[in-house]
Amino acid sequence: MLNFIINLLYLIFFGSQLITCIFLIIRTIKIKQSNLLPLILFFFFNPLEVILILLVGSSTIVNMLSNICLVIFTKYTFFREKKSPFWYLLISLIMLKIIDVVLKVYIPFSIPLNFVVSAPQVPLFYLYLTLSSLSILLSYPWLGLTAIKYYKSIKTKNVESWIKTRYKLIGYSSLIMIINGILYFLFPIDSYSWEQLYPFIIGLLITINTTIFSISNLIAWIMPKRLKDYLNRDYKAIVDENLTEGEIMNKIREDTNKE
Amino acid sequence: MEIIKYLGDLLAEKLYIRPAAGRGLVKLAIKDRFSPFKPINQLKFNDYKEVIQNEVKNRLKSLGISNIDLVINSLVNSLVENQSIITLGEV
Repeated sequence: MLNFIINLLYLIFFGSQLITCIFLIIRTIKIKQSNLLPLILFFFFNPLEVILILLVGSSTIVNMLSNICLVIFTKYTFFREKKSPFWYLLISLIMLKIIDVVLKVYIPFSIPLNFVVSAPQVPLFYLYLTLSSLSILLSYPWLGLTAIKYYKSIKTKNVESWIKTRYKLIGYSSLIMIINGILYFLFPIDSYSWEQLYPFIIGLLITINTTIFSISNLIAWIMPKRLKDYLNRDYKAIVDENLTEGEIMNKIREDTNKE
Repeated sequence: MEIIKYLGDLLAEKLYIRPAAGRGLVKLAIKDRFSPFKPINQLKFNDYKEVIQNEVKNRLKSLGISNIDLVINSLVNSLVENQSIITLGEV
């Protein structure tokens, strides 16, 4: 039963991320914004990681690739030609990925564990948890804090409300993932199933946070028109007159001469 | 379109002109550079930057505006600062 609950949440997480991925592929083809490619890969690698753990018990090859993609997306969406910690974060994540691969060649750790950790393996298991936790803390909070910062800067400006909501959803849902970075360390070392209460609670909390992130991003990126209209209910849209080139230039001349 | 509104309103503020005229000038500058059939939502960060640095600048020159470089720098800085609206406002 406990396993069923976790698997159901996994299914929601998996489905919502895959739908977001497919939607973003379609939109990227249409609007040709190349900075969306790392986000598409993020929403592809994330569910793939879970599928590989469930099917073959290890996701070593794709593990952490989603985090690297998220950092690249943040850089090329918010920080082009701007100072940012991008290279520090990217190099740190690549180093974590290399250590993770080397570690897993010796011991195929995963969450939940597929085996009981022996006493000499305990420090290595905590190293694995530290790597997993750091990969979250070096990627999600940067996007989260940046989205919230820009939401605050446009909050009082004449920007459509649904766009402001998109910033908020992306920002806060990314910050929720910080909790997972902490929860990893509470994971028991003497259990390898969700069927016991303690690992179930930790697993449930991790999966709930991931599901909140996935559903928030699903809504943020694939916002239905009705929801957009509802969010825009107090927004006064600017309708510019259909002026000819000459009329626009004359209006500017009039205004600048008045001055 | 949000980024055009953003840049147009800023241009209007800097030139003391009506916001509609500021937005109109940005749209004209985009048309100068790209075919009128190119969808606005396909414009990227670098496209907007080049439009500001070339076509908007040329239009301001033809209008005899003073301190053009100051205005252009201010528009480019605003674009760099608010670049995420290009993606988050168009997807």
